[in-house]
Amino acid sequence: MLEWPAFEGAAVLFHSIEFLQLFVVTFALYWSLRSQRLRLGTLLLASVYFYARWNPFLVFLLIFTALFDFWIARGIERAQSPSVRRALLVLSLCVTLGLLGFFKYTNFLLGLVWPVIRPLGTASDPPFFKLILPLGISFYTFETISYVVDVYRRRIPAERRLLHYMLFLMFFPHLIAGPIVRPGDFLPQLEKLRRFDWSRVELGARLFLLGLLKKAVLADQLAQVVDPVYAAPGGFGSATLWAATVAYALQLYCDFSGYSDMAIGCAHTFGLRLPMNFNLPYLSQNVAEFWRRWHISLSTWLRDYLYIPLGGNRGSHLATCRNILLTMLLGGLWHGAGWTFLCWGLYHGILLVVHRTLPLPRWLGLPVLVPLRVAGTFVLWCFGMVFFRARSIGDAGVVFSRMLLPTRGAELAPSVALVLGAIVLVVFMASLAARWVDLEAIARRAPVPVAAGALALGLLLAQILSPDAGGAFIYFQF
Amino acid sequence: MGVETKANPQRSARILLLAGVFFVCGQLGFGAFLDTAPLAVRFPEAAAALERARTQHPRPDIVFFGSSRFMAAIVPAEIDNRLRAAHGEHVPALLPMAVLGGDFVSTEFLLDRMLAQGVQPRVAVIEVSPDLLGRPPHLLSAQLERLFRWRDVLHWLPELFEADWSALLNARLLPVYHYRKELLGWLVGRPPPYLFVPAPAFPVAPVAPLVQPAASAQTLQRGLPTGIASAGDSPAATEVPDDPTHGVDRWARWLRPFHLSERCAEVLERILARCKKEEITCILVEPPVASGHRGLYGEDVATPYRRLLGRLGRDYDAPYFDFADRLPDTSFRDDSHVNHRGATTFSALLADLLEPLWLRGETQDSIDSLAP
Repeated sequence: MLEWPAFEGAAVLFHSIEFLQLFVVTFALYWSLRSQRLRLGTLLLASVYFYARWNPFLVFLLIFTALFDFWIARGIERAQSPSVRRALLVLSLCVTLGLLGFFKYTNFLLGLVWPVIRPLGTASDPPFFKLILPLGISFYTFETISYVVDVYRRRIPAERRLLHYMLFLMFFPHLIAGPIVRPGDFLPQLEKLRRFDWSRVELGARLFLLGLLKKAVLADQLAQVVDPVYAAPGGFGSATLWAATVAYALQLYCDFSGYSDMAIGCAHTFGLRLPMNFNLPYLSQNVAEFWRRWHISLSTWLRDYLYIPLGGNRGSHLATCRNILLTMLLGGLWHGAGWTFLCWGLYHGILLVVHRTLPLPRWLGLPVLVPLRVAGTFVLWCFGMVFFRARSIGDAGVVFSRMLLPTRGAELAPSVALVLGAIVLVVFMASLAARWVDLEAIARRAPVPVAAGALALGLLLAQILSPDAGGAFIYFQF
Repeated sequence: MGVETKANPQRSARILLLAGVFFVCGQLGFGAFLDTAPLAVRFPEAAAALERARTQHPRPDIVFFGSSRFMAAIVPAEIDNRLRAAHGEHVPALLPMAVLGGDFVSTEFLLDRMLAQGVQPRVAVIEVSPDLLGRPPHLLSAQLERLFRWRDVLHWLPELFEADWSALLNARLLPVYHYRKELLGWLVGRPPPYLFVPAPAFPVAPVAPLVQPAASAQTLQRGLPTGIASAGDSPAATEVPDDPTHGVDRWARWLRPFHLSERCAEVLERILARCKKEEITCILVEPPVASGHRGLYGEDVATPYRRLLGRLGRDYDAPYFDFADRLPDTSFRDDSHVNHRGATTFSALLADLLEPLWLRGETQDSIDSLAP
């Protein structure tokens, strides 16, 4: 087993004292400076520290990626010949995707080709590498690709200030797990010196707190049910596996949307805006709508930089279906190098193709049946979650067989089932409230002591309900 | 999240400022509540020990105060059996009152509470060692979390800062987070986790170690330096193979250079004075430690330590018995906690020590003559 790089520390989590310290220092320094360059330099330094705390070696990989694509994009802009421009684009894609492929897919590919090349050598097992997956590599790779492609397509000019470009790629709130930022949205925000705005800070604090509650109070609690069940699915009964799968669907949502909320909130406090990543996905009435509401920055990236270049829906129905399947398959593979993620992507590709091919009967579109459609979409999503969470295809098979065929096994204690049911209810009721009620307007109209009390209470609640083993965010592994 | 902010900066500033005030008030208010809460909320181990003292029949005659070392080393049944074998049914009632992370501060607290509830033993066996008299006192953070109120914090402030300033800040300034398990346990009736899923009963693929240990055990070990309660106390510890060198490095960092803590010595002196006043015979016992640990007790440690115990012994008629080197290394689970074999042997030695004192009603001189 070959190991590289050897050192790996702990990532700085948003819900840690260490992050609070980093944030407070950066925030104070950022707003006390009068020069935009110094402010952005402060943010960049904080971002480098944020990443280097996890791995001081791999931060250089990130810096290399940033420098490389910065110069490539400038070369593309300067070049007059289309072939030179195309060659530079291909070079950039090869290097950035090559790095992603090396760190993320080497062992997966080795496992795939080993049966073919094994007869040529003497080793009986493939020489797997023990590679550390650079945190956020999937995210920053997509961001840098979108930048180079947009410059190539002349949608945006190449950035002339390295500091701005590096901050676009490395800004610590979105560095590790998104949202995937588009250069056209982010780079213009770095142009002008912003005035300190208490309203933005308050909004940021509220969003951060919302994310903290989702992560610490809901996601980390749900993990206590999901992890043991999915570690040994063969020992649990049907009801428990259903419960654990639903719990995982909610855990993933609360964990990832919680992270996104915290990232967006954190960026607001620096006067910067990150794109929205979730829009109440569990209230979607069909799978296509679901994908417009779930991990929006990834869905739109895949649409703009993969699905549309493949031909989108401009060709025949068959070609459109092929493009959907390919896009979702690669989307699945983006999440992880494994058959389970490939199956997850394929499963969602098939769902989208079926949705596009077979329109719903008219009667199923009645408003009264909205809850049924929402529930149906959620159940379909939960089936996909089995692939997403299972450790192997074999485990996924075990879970599916036990979920679909009533099977006896270890069950949840009634008190655990009760708490789990309460959490499910809270998540769905909160989603409904967010859909039907303008919470923002209520927050704006609330008396100052009430609004302040709600903030303080939320923070105290997040502290009280944080479990001991509050882990890293799920999407850190992608 | 795409939310347009309606600019009202003054209102936002007021909200954030007031939220900060509420937050701080919430923390300090909860801290004040904790300070006055029943002992079982912050220090359930002491509450249980005091309850045992209050309800034990017959009333305890000999009480053992100390730390996890005494907890691991003293087997009351072994002492009882040995005394019975020699002298029939007329044996003293024993009461172990040692607690995890126990030191002289916790001993004084337990003694005061025990006497206040009318329990008055005839003999108090008190654990002593250089480790409990060094500065900074390394178990003080445990007492900070379990016993101290603001008054005590101010009294011990220099030592607390020296020992573990982050524990001090967490416990006093962020008590809502720090004592969340205690709070939830008090509110719900049992401590978290509430979503515990046990592993299936029949053999399956190995389960990832995600299941948290029982919260009660965590609560008991709160505030203890890493590894201090690892031996002899938690059920999980029984599965760890014996390693009499484990922990030496940590203690080496704490004991070198050795400075005798005047304040800890004062607490010990107060305990002895109180016992003398209450006519409780005190015996100071240094429990056995492994050879690696004893190696840390050089002249710089032993001289001031023995000088202090000698003076206290004379002033308060409290003899000191040194068992530090009485057991071989094979009797230890780690550098300072005995294993089952060591506990049996040490309990027998202790029984031999207590026997003349109790059954023969010997004078101080005869106790001294039994010194190991």
